Amino acid sequence: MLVTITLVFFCLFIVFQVLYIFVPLYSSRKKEKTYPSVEKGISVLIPAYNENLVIENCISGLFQVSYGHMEIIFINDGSTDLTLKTLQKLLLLNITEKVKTDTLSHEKVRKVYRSAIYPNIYVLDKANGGKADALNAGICYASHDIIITLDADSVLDSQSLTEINRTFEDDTIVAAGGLVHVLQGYHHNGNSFNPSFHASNLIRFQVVRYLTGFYMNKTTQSTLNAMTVIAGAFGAFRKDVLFQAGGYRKTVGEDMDITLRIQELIGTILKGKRIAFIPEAICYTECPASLKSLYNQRIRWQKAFIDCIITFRKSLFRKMNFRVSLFLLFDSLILGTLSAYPVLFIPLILLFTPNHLKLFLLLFSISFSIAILLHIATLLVSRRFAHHYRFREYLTIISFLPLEVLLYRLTEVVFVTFGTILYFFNKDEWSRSDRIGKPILLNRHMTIDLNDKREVKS
Amino acid sequence: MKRYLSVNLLFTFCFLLIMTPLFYSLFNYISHNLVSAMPSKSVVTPLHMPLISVDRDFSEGEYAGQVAVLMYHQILPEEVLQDIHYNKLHELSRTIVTVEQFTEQMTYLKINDYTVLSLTEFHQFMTKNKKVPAKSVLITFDDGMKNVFEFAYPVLKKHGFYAVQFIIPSTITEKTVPFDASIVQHASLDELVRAADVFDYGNHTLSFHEMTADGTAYLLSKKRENVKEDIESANKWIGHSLAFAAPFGEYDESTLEILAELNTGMAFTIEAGFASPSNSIYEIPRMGIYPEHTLDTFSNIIDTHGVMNK
Repeated sequence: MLVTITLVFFCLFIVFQVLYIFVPLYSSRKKEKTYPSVEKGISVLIPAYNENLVIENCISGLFQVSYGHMEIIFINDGSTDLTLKTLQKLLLLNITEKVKTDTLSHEKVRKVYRSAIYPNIYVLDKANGGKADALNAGICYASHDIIITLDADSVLDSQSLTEINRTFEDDTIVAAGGLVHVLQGYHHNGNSFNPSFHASNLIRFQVVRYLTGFYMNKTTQSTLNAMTVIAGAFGAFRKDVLFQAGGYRKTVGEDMDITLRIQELIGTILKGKRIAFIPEAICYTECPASLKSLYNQRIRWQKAFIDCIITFRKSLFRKMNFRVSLFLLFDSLILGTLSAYPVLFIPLILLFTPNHLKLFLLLFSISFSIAILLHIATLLVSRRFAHHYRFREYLTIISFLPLEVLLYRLTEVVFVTFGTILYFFNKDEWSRSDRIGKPILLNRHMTIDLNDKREVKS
Repeated sequence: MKRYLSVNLLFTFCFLLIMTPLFYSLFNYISHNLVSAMPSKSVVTPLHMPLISVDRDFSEGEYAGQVAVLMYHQILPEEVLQDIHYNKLHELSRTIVTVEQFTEQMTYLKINDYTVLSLTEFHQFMTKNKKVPAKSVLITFDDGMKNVFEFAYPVLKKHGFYAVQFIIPSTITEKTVPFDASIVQHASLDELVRAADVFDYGNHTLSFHEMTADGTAYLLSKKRENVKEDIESANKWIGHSLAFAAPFGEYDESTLEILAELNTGMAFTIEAGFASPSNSIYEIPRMGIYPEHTLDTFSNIIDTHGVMNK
């Protein structure tokens, strides 16, 4: 019986893995891109709660973006540190009036500021209410039709908004996720800013996971119209859809929550619309550098996931499209959580039925080979999006892969299992990754030079 | 797209190169070790019919040194024969003898004063120097098909003949259904019980009347302990271990050892020849009776003297 269950799970696992390998491989290609001549208005929302360490990086990152028609709204969510003071100092804030376009419930906004030197940068100072609450406030004050949500520790690539603008030319697209790269997986030297695999194993592990997660998993889900989460670090939405969805909900995983709520809308009143994934729209984010903060981050993600599954359990297959429900239920829940990874089952078989040693070895070799092949496919696909490593680094990556598959996958199982259990004990306690606040020098000419107003466009 | 096509195809090729053997082994493993083990659990109520106790005294007249053991599989009336009974070359399947032929052959035995032995008598002949008439035969059927009960049983009963059926317990059904020539039907438990005045039942394995994808019989491909377990379960189900016949006639040394360990009385092969007490008790030859055999051929086959004289 146990063996049969394992085999059923295993087959499911293989089916999804094969999809994740071949869908991106055969569908990603450099398309003939036509960029619209008109820049649509984009509002970038950056919720900040005690982000004093990274806020400066964040601002300097925004100057890299070559896009004119945008406004940036920092939402200071009742920070208890010097975040507001730092913003004040860097941006020379003046109190201003800004029109609220619509209403969503959120904590009181104390004051609205506008930068004296960069007139397209605003700061909302509000009472603390959490990230979802801060985003809701930001949406209300945003004046443009396309909303970008960005984490304070993330930095946009210069072309990212141009790509968003191009994607939203398509009327059927109501929301889109961008591609997130691990910042520590890059090396900057002078003017060059290139992918580098020269990092600690913990970072390498995350670099590989991010590459596979975005280039393969997200591409597959978007191709099959089954996006289950737009990463909170970098997402793009049509403002009216956010209002239709009722704004963000206060929860650990507000990013997955809003995605699923939009999927509900697509399944009901917005039939024919879709959520896209834009591999060309890139942002760089700092990922946890210590095992402890990685553990915290992953526990938080898992709690967020379980919370969403419980919240949306009744919408599956009813309000939500079949494919979204299928991916959520089978890939994310059953394979991702219930069995975490067949690795967890394999020792069990061995324990209960020692005469199935050969079966164990077979299942193991299959999952191992397929995992390695998935990563190799990832390298092929990411190259097509100009994510190149040097030849020697490819060798390093390939020799690192077995370690990743064998060792770090197991830690993943631990994260998922603990996260699920912990969710039922304390739902609300959540911590965020420790900010490192390492200066980000995407381009030497564009480093923090706040006196140089050349970059400001309005 | 063209730029990536060759890379994609190369990758796909490597993927298949690596994954195909792995999946094939997994498939093989599952079909060998997991799937086939299942039917044994769902076998119907055990049979446990006593053996036919007929043990006649043949001490008068000429004695036989050897006996022809006849092997049949299916007996079907000519009128019901249809596509499934023919092979691709439109020849009647070798496992089928028509009712018409079978009746003629049985009548021949009757007219020519052949003695049709019971399994017990044959066993005595083979092991205990029992004297049997010079013109003796043992009739056997393999596989326990429903049509044998339907068409051979009345003929045998009419002549007062006995026969042995090598049955596969896992195929025996709990329910008796109407005869349908267009499908493969095995006998039901009830049919076995009702026909027990003519038939003794022998062991044709519990569920190993199967071959692997590459055409190896299960008795050869399965692990020794699985084979033993299967044969033993069939013995238990039938209620004795007097007679065994290997599916497809495929067996090896290890099968013979297992039979000895399970105190099997006799085992039959599909090799042509006459049975005599000097044979190995676990490799008793049998004469296959096939659809192409005319009555002349049949009479030659069972004529032990004829062969002796050649």
